[in-house]
Amino acid sequence: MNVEKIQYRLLIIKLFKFLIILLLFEFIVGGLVQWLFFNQESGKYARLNYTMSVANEDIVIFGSSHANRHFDPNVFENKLGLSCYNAGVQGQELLFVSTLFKILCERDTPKIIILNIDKNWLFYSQDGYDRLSEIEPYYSIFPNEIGDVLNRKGSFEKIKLMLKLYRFNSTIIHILKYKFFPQTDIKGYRPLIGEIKTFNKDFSSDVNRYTKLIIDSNCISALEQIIEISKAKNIKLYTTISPYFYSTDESKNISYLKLIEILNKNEIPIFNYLNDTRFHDFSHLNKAGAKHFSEIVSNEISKNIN
Amino acid sequence: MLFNSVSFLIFFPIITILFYALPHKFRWFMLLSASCVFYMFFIPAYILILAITIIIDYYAGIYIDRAKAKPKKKLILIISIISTCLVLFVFKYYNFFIDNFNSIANFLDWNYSVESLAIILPIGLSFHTFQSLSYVVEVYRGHQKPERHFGIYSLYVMFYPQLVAGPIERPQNLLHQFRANHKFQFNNISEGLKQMVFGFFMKLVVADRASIYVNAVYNNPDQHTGLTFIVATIFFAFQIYCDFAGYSNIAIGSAKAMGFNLMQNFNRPYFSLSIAEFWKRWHISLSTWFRDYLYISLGGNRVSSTRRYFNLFITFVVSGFWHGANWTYVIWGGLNGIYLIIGIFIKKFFLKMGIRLEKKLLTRVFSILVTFTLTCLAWVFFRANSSSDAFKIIEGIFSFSGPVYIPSGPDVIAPIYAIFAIMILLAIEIKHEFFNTSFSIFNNKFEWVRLTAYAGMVAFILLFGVFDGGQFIYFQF
Repeated sequence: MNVEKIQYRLLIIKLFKFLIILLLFEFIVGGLVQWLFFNQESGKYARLNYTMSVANEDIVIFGSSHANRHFDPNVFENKLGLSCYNAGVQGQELLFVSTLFKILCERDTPKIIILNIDKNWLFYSQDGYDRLSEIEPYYSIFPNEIGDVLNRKGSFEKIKLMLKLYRFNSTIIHILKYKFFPQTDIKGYRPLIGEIKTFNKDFSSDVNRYTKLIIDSNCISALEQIIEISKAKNIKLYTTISPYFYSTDESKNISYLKLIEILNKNEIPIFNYLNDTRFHDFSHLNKAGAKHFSEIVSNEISKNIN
Repeated sequence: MLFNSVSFLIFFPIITILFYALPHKFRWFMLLSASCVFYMFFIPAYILILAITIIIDYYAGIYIDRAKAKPKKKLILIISIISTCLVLFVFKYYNFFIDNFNSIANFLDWNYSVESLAIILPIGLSFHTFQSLSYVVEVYRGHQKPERHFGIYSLYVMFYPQLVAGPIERPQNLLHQFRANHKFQFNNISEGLKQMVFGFFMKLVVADRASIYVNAVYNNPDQHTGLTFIVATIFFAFQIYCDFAGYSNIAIGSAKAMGFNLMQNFNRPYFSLSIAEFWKRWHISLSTWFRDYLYISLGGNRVSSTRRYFNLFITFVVSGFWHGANWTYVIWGGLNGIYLIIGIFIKKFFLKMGIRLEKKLLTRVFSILVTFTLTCLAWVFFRANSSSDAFKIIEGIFSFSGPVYIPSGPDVIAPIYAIFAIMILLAIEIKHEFFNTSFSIFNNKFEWVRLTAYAGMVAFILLFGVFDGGQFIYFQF
């Protein structure tokens, strides 16, 4: 055997040994992280686990942190006499929310869905695609629903997700943090405590920034899917737009205008409260504000039902 | 094509296998084609810009060699340098000069303004230009025979591992390697892959994780205070190091897998005892380029002390300007030049007093910390979006006011991951810097320990890396 052939053989043997050890890591470490992940009792992933696999409440609230921080399920339960769960997820946008909605509706049919809309949701957002990684740990359980949205993220995403180590990427510290320091929530709702400090920022430039943004057709179809599924399953869909503490001119915000157009076209009620003043930080309501806001929305829904 | 993309993970093994599978005479063509494909993943048409400089410097090399008289050689060299730099000037610096000219005109109430060009800087153009220039200068100096094979010469400036962000090679080191018949050797593949794994660790686990916090702070300096700026600047020091050294490791590793030896670009720079040492350990291929082709051309050390300090300062200012067409980079370069000049004075003073800082452990640690702190202060200018932001951040740093910013939303845990990743990096680097002869899991005598260490590192990258991270920072230069 010549020297070069020996070298090739050596490479193949070493690569084979390396892959075996890597697979052991995948099996042992990946398996351990998977077990820890699905046995979380508090924190964002625990709430996601609940929404996807357990939630069977009459009212489910969907949206980003604005949904999570602004809707107190107890207010809705008291006002409407229906059970309620807040499935809002901090930092997430429409593609993620619609996937979560689809997963829940595959298993359960809530009576009412409240979808809290962020005015810029239809704009293309790289963050929105990047943050879909938070739904990747569930790919093995809901391959169809999640696979559909991950195809939009990238061609190789599904191949990468075959590895548990990749699927549970960046979850360990989160798991450990909430294992040792549990995070409390009230049926998914996480109130903000405190009041806003003076915040001197000129928001007048916000109007012009919309001209640089483009509408993402994937986001339009995600919203339309929520509407279609709600109609098909006879779920009453309400949409809300949370208030901001500063007044905004949305006349050039094509995402906002398109959102309103789609919802109006489908005759979906919109409770639009873009301006209010009770906030914890520059975009979220504090606990008192959330209670007040939840009362307003539940009153509107109550009127609409009756 | 980005190194941190799935496309590259497919591209690299295919090209490496093809390289060894093809007869030697076809390899240059395959590598050149692959390099073109690699570059055209960004903006395909921009390959034509590289083609212009390739043609200019290829013929310049030949004509310099043919010219008998020194003045003629010099003339061809100057024409070649001006032409090559003109391409860089148009794409990188034209708008900078126009914007500054317009600002001055506006200040002087002149009713005159020139339109900026709506162009994007071709990725890696500065690296490409410098590698190209090094060739003509070396031919002019007689250190390198001109390459008459147009394909091989093109490959020298287009070789995909170092095409977009270096290391900036010299013809004496690289050109002849394209003519050598590289036999398949397991050790080359093994060493190359190991270096690539470490590069991916630096980029995906450390740099991209730290960047989340750095971007949040540096993009909104109005909303943060002193301690936050200190934390973000330290994070940036590791981000820029791991981003660029990570790229260099992947580049050197992927070339090594095919038997090519590229020059070392980083040597644990944050353990430097002085700024002078830092620049011997940081972006070595660029530092030596400036030393060989600018500093020495200006007179180097063979001039009066005052002239020498001036040469040093100019070299660093130009180095800063090479990094970007922005005053922040110029200040960054100038600041490093000033550090270096002050360092020379301090060294002279210590020598006079008979003090050897590097002898005692405590003074070594102190020197490392001082050098790191000075480097971090300079990095503020490198990272800040504008000079005014940079001065605001510097002012904030010296106020030492709190509290430290903790991100909200999905990025809340990013700083914890970043600290964790930096600690691992430091542990590895401390081991190599100070305890290189003691126990090592990556170079252990037992094969299973080595394989487990590298498999563990790959598993670690998969579990803790940032896979949605963007480009390498140095691509923009």
